[in-house]
This record gives sequence, structure tokens and C-alpha cells, in this order.
Amino acid sequence: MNGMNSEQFEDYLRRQPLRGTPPGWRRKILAEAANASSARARSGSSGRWAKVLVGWMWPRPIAWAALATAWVVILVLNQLAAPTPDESARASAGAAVAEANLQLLGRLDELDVAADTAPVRPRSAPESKSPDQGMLEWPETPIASQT
Amino acid sequence: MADEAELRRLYDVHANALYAYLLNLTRNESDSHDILQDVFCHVALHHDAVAKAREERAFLLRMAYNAFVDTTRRRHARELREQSFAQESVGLFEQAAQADEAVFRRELEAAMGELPVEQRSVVHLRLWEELTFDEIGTLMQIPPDTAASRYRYGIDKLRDRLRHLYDEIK
Repeated sequence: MNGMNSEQFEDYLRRQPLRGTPPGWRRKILAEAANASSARARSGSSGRWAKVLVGWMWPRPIAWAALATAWVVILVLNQLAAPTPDESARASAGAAVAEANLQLLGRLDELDVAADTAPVRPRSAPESKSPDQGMLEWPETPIASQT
Repeated sequence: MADEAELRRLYDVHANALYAYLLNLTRNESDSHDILQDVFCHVALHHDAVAKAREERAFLLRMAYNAFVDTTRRRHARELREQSFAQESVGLFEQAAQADEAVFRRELEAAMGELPVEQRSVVHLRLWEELTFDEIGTLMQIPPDTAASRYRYGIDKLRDRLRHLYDEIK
């Protein structure tokens, strides 16, 4: 041991001063801790509502049964309201027809607009029919009937 | 949850000790910062447990040790990390006024770094936190006899390593 007393050695080690936290850490670490605390408080408010609800309902089995029944009714209504595959196929076919109709109407509108904006041409004189032409159009009377 | 004044008090009373312990374990200032921050966030959320603790300092040191163990586990390379922690010089001790003391502190830090982390932890807690082996056993979740034997092994290694410097100073 060379005169090296174990207790003295340990005491000497103990007297070596350890370094403290670097400056600036205090503010940063405490801010983080405060943030964590406030975040928990925020999320805790919804948890409190759940606790209140459970606390109120736990001793009341009728309330639990009513809640369960309400869920069942909601699920059943949801199932009933959902369209059958046949109905949805018909609905999509109807939608396609409606789409086609709309496109047609759109084209007709375009045609109308084009007609309205076309330049006005002088009208030609009304066609006069010659007496001969009129005669030609007249139905021929069979000769036999005249006699 | 702890209010801010209580957090400030806990920091002012215990942060230096927790930091020195974590720095000795991790041998890395950034890791020590992260673990210290985790500890104080945990304290902010679970202050009731700290308030109920019989020994506040021992309770916080235990939290720091557990956080250190979790951190090293998460990294999946605990052995490698401990070895690399041990090789780094982080300025564990305050600057010494005299040259021979400065050399001793530097060598002591290096010698502590060469100890396995379990021995390093026990030696630190016994020397600088003055905890009993029972308290160290509770903190590290080991039997007190194991804590005592780890301490003896650690001190023997330090003495062998630092004998020449210590004899010069004394």
C-alpha cells in the first residue's frame, strides 16, 4: 500500500469538486418541463370529461344499456340507409345519362348562340309560281270522269 | 403536476448533482443534457411521486440512472456506447488552480472512464453523493452487497491507477 491509506485516498477523491451544469441550461430545461406539464394539462381536460362520464355512468347500468342500444340503433339505421349494389348501379347509370343530356343541351345552346350572332343576309324574293307550274301541280283530272 | 416555482426549486437544489452523475455515466455533455431534460419533464408530469419520496435527491438520482439505462438500451449498442463514453474527456471536475491538482483531476476522470459503467455509477454515488450501499442498491436495483463489492473493485482500480500521482501530491 506504500503508506497509502484507503480512507484518506477516498476522502481525497471526495474532495475533488464536480463541475456544475453549464449556464443557460436552467432556462431551457425548465421551459421544456413547463411545456410538457402544460401539454399534459391540455390533453388531460378531455380525459377529465371521459372520467366524469364514466363516473356518472358506472353505477347506472341502465345508462350503459341505453348507450349500447343507441349505438345498435345507429348501426342498424346506417346499414338500412346504405344503397344496395343494384341501386348504386342504377344511380350511376342515371348519372351518366344526366351527364350526356347536359352535354347535349350545352351543344344546343352553342348552336343557338352561333345562329344569333351570324351576319344577316338579304332575303331573296319570294318564289312566284308561274301559272303553268300551278297547273302542273294541280292534280290531273281523269278524262274519263269529265265525260 | 409540479408548478414552475417547485420545478425551479428542484432544479436549483439537485441539477448540479444530477448533471455530474450523468456526465460521469455518459461521458457526453449532449447526452447528459438530454437525459437531464427528460428527468425534469418527468418530474413536471409526475411530481406527486417526487413529493412522496423520502429522499428527494436519491429519488431523482434513480430517475436519472433509469433514464440513462433506457437511453443506452434504445441505442442497441450499449457496450459500444459505454466504451466510447469512457474514452471521451468531458471536464467532469472543476478547473484546478494548481498544476498538479489539474493533472490529478484529469487522470482521475480518465481512470473513472476506464471503469465499467456499473462500478463507475457506484463509485460516484458513494463518493460524491455519499449514499449508503443500501441506498445505492435501491437506486440501481441491485443487492447492497453487490453495490459494496462493485465499489471496492472500482476504488482498487482507481488507487492502482492514481497511486503515483497521489503519492506525489501527498
